[in-house]
Amino acid sequence: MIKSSEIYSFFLNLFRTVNMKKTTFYFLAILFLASCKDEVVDPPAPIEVDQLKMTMQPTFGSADLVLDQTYTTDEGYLVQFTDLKCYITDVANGSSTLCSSALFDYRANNTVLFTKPGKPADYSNLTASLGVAASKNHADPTSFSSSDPLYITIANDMHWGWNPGYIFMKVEAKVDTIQNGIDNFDHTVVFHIGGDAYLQNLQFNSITWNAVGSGMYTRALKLDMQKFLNNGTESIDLKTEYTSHTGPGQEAISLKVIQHLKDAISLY
Amino acid sequence: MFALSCKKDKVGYTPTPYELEIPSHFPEMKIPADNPMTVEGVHLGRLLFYEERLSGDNTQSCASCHSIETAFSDPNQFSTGIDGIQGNRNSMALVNLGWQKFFFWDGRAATLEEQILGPVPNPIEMHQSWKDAVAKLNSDVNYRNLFYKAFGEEGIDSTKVSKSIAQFLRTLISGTSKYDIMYKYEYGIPLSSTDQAILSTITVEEWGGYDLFKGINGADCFHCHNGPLMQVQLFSNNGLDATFADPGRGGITGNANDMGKFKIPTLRNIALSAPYMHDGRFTTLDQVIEHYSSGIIQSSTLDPSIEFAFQGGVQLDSEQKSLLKKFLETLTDYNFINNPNFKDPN
Repeated sequence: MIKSSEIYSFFLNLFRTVNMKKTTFYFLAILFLASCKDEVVDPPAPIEVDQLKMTMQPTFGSADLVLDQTYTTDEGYLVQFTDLKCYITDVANGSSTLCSSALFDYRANNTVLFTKPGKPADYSNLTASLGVAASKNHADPTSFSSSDPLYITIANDMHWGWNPGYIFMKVEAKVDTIQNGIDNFDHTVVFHIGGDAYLQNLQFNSITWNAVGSGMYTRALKLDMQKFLNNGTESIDLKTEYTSHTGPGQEAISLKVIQHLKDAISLY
Repeated sequence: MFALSCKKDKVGYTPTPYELEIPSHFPEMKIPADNPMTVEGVHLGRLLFYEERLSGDNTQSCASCHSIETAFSDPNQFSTGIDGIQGNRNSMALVNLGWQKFFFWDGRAATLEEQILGPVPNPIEMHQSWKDAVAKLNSDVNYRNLFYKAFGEEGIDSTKVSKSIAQFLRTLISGTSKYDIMYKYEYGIPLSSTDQAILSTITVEEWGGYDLFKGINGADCFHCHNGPLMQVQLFSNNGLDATFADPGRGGITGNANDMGKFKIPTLRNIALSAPYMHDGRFTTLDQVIEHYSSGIIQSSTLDPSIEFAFQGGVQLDSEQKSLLKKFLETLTDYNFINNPNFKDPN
């Protein structure tokens, strides 16, 4: 590599020995051209901020769940999940908030929940909400930052309007409830649950964040849809319990469904 | 010479930034970095939108199938191209396009600029190669000057045509209907004195229709149509057919779960933009309401949000249908369709 001092010496000698006028012209021309190049500036020292990345992997029992693939429920029904979405908000350790809102959308974004700056040691225990707290649930959805998952264009079909606010969770599926060996997924399951009364609390203790290099740490949650259908205490029988839009008369099934979804979420 | 060698800036290119008038209750519009809004670009785009030389026989412009009187849609079930050939889908209304995430009924275009490139060479629409269209524009000194002013360099090509029309289309913002006042009032968004005056004219029937519209045990419309844009940006099978002559989104993705699904359109100015549905099968709002009330047809990809599909729809009585129609008419934005900046400049 030629140093700038060497270039300068070269032109100084040239200047002394060759026609003065011509040399001055060329010298200036080269200086101008040189000035066109990007200046070499030392890059700023990187700011050392750890990043915490949280994901959520849907499973059916021990197997990773694939949308549109067939699984068998405890009742013997064949089920194909077609959509899994939910809001996880106010992820915090005490008063220290790690992530104010995350939208899980398995079909659109795979397992992504959020990536936020933070130190693993500060977030070894976390609380969170499944859904959106009342303080935000009825706000103008354009009032959030345009990158916030609660912003109207990101929320998209996860927002109902002012009165009920956000849809906290969506589980959609197709089911074959007739055990005759013939696949016929003609039974639609749709659970769209929202409304202040259905907000659920989540808690994760003794979290180990996995270092993956460059200051990035990851932690996966698990969303076990087999456990969603049967949480060990009671089951959701998709033949008879297959729909709720959290409408009038659907309070009991709505609460049952979102509590089951809460039970299905754990550290992976 | 030295200065030129140092910079790539276009000499004398000083476009005027165009300030979009975004309604206070609307989300932010994201403008593509490679196509900033300028006064010169919007002006050029408007001229090109109404330019019939973009068609093979100089008889059709974009406005031929998207007329302002019908909220930039086509009152015909199917638009007819310059060769007398009809398409098989109804022309979509052009409104609030700056917020759309995909374009065409099947969502095959990801950007507005990409969408605009389609109709000119389409043999059943304007049926002219871009090469010929650009040659016609190039032969017009006025256009050469306008393109120079808009883009700061000589030369016309399809990319610049599409960019400038996209700039004009992004100005087609509808957000001053009665519904907007209802929406702002509901969210506690400050109302201007003009808004307050309009609020006082909203009738009990219109409010009642709005309640039905967003009621899960009412008309149950809000799953797909809500918010300032009056739509969610997804594809849906809304129960028109048991089998699908037109695969819709499925024709693009090849996914069986997408068959018979189409882009959910906005309901803005819906009273003006008949006929309805992707194939324009319904000519009146009454027919549309009847479809959702009693005409839903089950199929393998039917949108699960249509909760009462098992009984053919939401089963509205005649009074409810009337109220719902009253509400749908509040979505007409007269400022939008009468905006002089949107009309044919010639």
